[in-house]
Amino acid sequence: MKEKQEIIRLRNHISYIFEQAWHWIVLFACVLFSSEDSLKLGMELIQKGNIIQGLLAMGGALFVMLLVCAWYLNRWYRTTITIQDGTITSAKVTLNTRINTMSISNISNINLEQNIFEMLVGTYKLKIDTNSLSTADTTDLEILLKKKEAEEVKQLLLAMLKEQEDGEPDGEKIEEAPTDTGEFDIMQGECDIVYSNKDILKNALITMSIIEFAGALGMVVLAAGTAAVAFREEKEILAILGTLLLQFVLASSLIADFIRKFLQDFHFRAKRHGDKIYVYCGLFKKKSYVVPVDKINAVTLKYTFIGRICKRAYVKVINIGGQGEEADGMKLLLTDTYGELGRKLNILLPEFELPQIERMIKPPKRLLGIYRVYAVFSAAVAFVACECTVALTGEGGIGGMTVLAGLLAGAAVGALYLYICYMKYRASGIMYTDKTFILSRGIFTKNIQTIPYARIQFIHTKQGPLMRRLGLLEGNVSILASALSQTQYMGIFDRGDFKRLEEKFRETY
Amino acid sequence: MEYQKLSKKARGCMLVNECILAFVCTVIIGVIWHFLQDAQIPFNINFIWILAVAIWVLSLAAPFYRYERYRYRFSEEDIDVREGFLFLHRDIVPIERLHKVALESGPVDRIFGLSKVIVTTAGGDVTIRFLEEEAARKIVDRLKVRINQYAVDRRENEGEAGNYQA
Repeated sequence: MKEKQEIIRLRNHISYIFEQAWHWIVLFACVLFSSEDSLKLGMELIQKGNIIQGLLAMGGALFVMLLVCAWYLNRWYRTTITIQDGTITSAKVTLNTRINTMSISNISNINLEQNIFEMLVGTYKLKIDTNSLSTADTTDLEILLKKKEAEEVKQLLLAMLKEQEDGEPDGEKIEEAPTDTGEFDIMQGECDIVYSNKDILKNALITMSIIEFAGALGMVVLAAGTAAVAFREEKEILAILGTLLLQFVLASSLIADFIRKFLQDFHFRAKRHGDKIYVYCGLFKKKSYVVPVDKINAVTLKYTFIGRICKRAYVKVINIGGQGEEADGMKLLLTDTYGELGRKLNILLPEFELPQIERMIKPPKRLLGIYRVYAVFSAAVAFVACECTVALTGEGGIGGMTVLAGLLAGAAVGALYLYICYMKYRASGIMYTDKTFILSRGIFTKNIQTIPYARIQFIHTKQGPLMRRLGLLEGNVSILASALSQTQYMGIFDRGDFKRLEEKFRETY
Repeated sequence: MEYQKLSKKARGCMLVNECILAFVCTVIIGVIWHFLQDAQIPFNINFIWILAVAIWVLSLAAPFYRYERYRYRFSEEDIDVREGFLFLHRDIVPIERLHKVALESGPVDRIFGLSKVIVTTAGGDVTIRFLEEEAARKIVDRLKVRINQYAVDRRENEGEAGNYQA
């Protein structure tokens, strides 16, 4: 095989220096231009031919700025990625030399990302995520390349990955692999799932944080109220507009999340191609990712608070690659009704089925008894804390009133705790199918996870004295995922339900 | 395979560990008591020593309960560990899914000739504590053989096995 025998050495695109150092450059430029006198003197000296003196007069800021640029230039020059003999090596030979080598078979995701600056320059960020959780921090790679080069490298890695997974002999498979159908070509063809702008707007609204939604709604109501009062009092039009503008600015900062989500998911489309799912989205920051189906460890159906009211959820898949916002999974489908999600998931990922929620096993009613005991305990703690606070702050002179305040605080905390527990109880559920374990959990939001038994790494259960008395168990299952999704909490269920999970789990090994 | 109990030495090791912890807590309580002696607080500061007594009672009782409840089982397929004092914990780890096996021993463990085996899967790790050094070493050796065997079997079956169907 030609490509495999070749040593491919890559270096970040030169614009990487600016991308890494721009905030320092801006900072030092601000410092430099803020001291007008030294700048004027320096410029005069340079004009007179005394360049060194002129630069010195401009002060240390310029020197530090140049030093920072030199530092990043050195780092850029000394950072390379080498692909050779089925391995990928990242080398950073700076003050702290770090050389990491990993097998291409350990790659779980290869994604392309582009922000506004990269769109202007015409580069793409190639992100390579590895399978290993314990070494993910040191072996996950990122490299900035020109669009064509990024696409070529991605296709080469995908082909090599496929070859290693298929166990094909050296030499033939890569040329046979679909390297001709680049990811952009795949996405430019007809996609299996395409969302309209209306769908994306709806998705941004439903996935919006409830606090921000309530804040924005409050601001709109307040603005309408202010305007009505101002008109009634016949205030000056400028004063009214000023107040409205201020409230509009506050409201828009609250709906920033909504706008960000809309831009992030703009033109969201997905396609199943062989054993991989290709997803592409974004307006300013374009993002494309490939999810190998055999690396999916769980599928999550996510209901936000608003989503639960509207009966709409979205789908994420959990594999090891996610970072930042994707730490709890990579988005596969935007918000839709349950039936529509099932239809779309059947196109993209027929290996997984949406669970029949109505068949889920609910936690036993006696669990509510435990919650009531905990609520009484938390109310007592709140009462004692309230009394101590009053005593310590020296406000203890109001007699029965402090006891009443303590009782009220205790009752409020107890009631809130009980309400949260009840919501948790309502969202909780588990289900067993032949090959997958399904669990549902949440308080105001709800997540329904589908995990193949074969993907469970280990099971952990816990039982407190009260649970022991009532025959209950609390547990979680561990899967290969980022730290945020690694432990999947099951909730508290009957001991027998855990026994069944244990039996199903044992069948897989 | 039946569940196994720990050796008697484990109880001593647990007791020493708990006593060290209780001692540290007592020192912290003593420092708090010293600084709050003259402060105006709604209750008598000497009551704080009740907390210290409770900690010592629990620390002295816990090792006996933990020792009685501690059970582990290394079968051909999986590792099963049950332990706890007030809260009982249980872990079931298939050997097939192990990535790494480590043997560790702290200073107190070494005094009692004990070690702990830490098994790492792709989803986190599980520790089996208070094992006798010799037994722990044998377990690690056995696990290593099993892990290697699984790796060889997996490689051989790779061509045959298709993707799982959920």
